[in-house]
Amino acid sequence: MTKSKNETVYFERGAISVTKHTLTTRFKDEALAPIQSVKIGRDPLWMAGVVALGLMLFANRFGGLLFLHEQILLVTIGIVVAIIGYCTATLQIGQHMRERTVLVAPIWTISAVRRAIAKARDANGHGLADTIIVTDETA
Amino acid sequence: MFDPIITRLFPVAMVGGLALYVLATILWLQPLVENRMAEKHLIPACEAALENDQESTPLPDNPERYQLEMTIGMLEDMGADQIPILREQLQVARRMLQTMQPTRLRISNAERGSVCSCASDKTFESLGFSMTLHVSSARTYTPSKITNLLQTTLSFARSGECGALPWKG
Repeated sequence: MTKSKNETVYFERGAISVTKHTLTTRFKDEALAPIQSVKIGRDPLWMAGVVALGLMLFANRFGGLLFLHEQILLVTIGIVVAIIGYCTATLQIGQHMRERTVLVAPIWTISAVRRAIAKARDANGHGLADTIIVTDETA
Repeated sequence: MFDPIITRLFPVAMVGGLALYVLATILWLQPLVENRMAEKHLIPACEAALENDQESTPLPDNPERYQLEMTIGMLEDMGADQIPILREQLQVARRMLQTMQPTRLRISNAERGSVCSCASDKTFESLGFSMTLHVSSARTYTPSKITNLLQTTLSFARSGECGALPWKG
């Protein structure tokens, strides 16, 4: 945690920073006050998982038509894609009746941003006590 | 009511991943499988079938040659070789018979390869999206069109769409 001239910076890495009132990403500044939930999304893992599984299944089922080096290449690409998917995450913030993805980055960065947002909200006095849980009773 | 169930069963990211995989199949995996299937199975089998067709096609009939053969035989029986003027005629007739020797209608190996390669290309073209599904599903979806690939290739090769076969007339 560092202190700038005017406000506390809870996280700063590249274009991403979390201050007492704002989450700044490369393309947008987001006010922290209306945030009701912060979630780490694993969408990249789903996408990479499907692609990796597909490539490995392909290498296995069409093995008779492929050279060994091609099979190895396909499996390697599948593993690399799966690792990239595992190491990437999205930051989803929930506001009144909607949830949006605001950041796609390595999972360690996303976790650090999430912790920084929690600290900033605590410092602002918007801890979990202020969180409104909305449920749709008609569903 | 069903919306949440569908989105729970098939998250958007999973559908996105599937779309990416299908794209990779169309751009990379499907052409690879088609090339290998053609090289390893379809073209060699098609070439063998065309060669067999070529060999099993009977020699073409030539009534003039048959008539000349009969005439030469008759003259030989009559002892035409002993009479100088007929001997000369007989020699001319024999030379003519040699030029009328029936030749088997053939195509070269290169032509056969080209016909079969074109036929296999046409076969895969005719399959359309079935082949994409077959490849992307890792052989789970295998319609009869895929199991009969060789027959389809042969019918394209024999139809003359990929070049005329001389024994077909």
